[in-house]
Amino acid sequence: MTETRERKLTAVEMLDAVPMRNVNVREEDRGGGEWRLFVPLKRRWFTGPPFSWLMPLSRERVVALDSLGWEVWRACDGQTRTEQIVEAFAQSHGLTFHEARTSVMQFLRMLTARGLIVMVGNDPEGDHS
Amino acid sequence: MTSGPREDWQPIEWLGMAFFVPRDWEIVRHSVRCEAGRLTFVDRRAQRLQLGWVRCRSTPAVDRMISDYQARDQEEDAGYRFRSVERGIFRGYRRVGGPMPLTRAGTFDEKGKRWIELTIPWHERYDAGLERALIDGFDLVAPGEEAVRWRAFGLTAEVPPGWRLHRARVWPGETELRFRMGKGEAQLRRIKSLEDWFDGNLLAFLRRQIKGRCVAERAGPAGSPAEARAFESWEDVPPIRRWLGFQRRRRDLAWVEQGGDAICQVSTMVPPKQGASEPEAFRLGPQSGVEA
Repeated sequence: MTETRERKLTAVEMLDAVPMRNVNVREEDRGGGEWRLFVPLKRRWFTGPPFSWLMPLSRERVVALDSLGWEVWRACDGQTRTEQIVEAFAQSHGLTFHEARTSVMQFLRMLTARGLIVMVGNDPEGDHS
Repeated sequence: MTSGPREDWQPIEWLGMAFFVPRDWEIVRHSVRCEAGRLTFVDRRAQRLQLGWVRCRSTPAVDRMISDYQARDQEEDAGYRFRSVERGIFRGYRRVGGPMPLTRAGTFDEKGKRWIELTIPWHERYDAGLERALIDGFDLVAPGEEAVRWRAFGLTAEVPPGWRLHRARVWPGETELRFRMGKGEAQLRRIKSLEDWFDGNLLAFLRRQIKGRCVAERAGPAGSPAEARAFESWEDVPPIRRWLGFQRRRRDLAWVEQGGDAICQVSTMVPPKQGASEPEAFRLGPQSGVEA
């Protein structure tokens, strides 16, 4: 049986972790270098009828991305480690590794907080089985 | 393996201290005060070097300092053993045998009246070549207050004598150093990643920086880099300060570096009574040997 555990990753563990996209996220190209991501929201008792007949409650959260954000979002393919994403971002924008790490990590934290990705890290205490 | 020939390393110059570090190390903490401060370098995974300094009026008792340090280390972990380190102007020790081996070596800067200390933690294994290169590459160029050249955070800046570093700010892709002399202020900026935001119009870029009244706009003066653009204006201040004569003259000079990798901008704001302080007197460019 697989056990999943959530805990805060250290900076080094973040580098080794693999960001994985939420498969339920819907993408929309708005043109002009703008993209939108739609994340389905968890259904609660107050978001269904009859309350939804009275109040128009959104069933999705929308996150707008510019071209830089889109580049990082596309790189989160479930196989590439954060360190490799940072390296590629640094190379394509003429930044140092640490400059790119600051930007990319901040962005990945935002995506995680909004439920767009999860960071899958190696458990230093052993396997999950 | 991080040790290697010094040509591959990046030169750092800060508060009159010049040294070399491997090119993949970066500064994560810095101080601009001459009295006391530190520069902390990390690689991708861990801290690699800390350079600390503190003002001392007279030569400190180095042997006593070293024995105090070692006593403190022993309190931390009784398993530590110590090997003496004496290289050039540096004296110190190497801590081995415990959970965190490191090299700690210091020197007294007679001219600048400060104690300078290098701390090199050995997270993986001890690297004698790296230790040797870090210590041997260290040079005291000038007392902190008299430093005129700065090399760090991807830029090299040279300022006329008398200007003192007041603030250094770093963002991804942008570095800003602010210097002060009397009531005058100079700001040196280097901004990278141009393809993401710069449309090629240097004048428009400069205009956005200047909130106050623009007096004159001209091509870069003689001696400034080709294609440089210059602005002259007045500082944007409340009317009362203007009436009282506290408004400073602002001069801006900006240019795109050769290769189009970055924009360099030098701005000076000086009270009219302090005399002219031309941005051309400052030198700004990339820091050689830096990754990306």
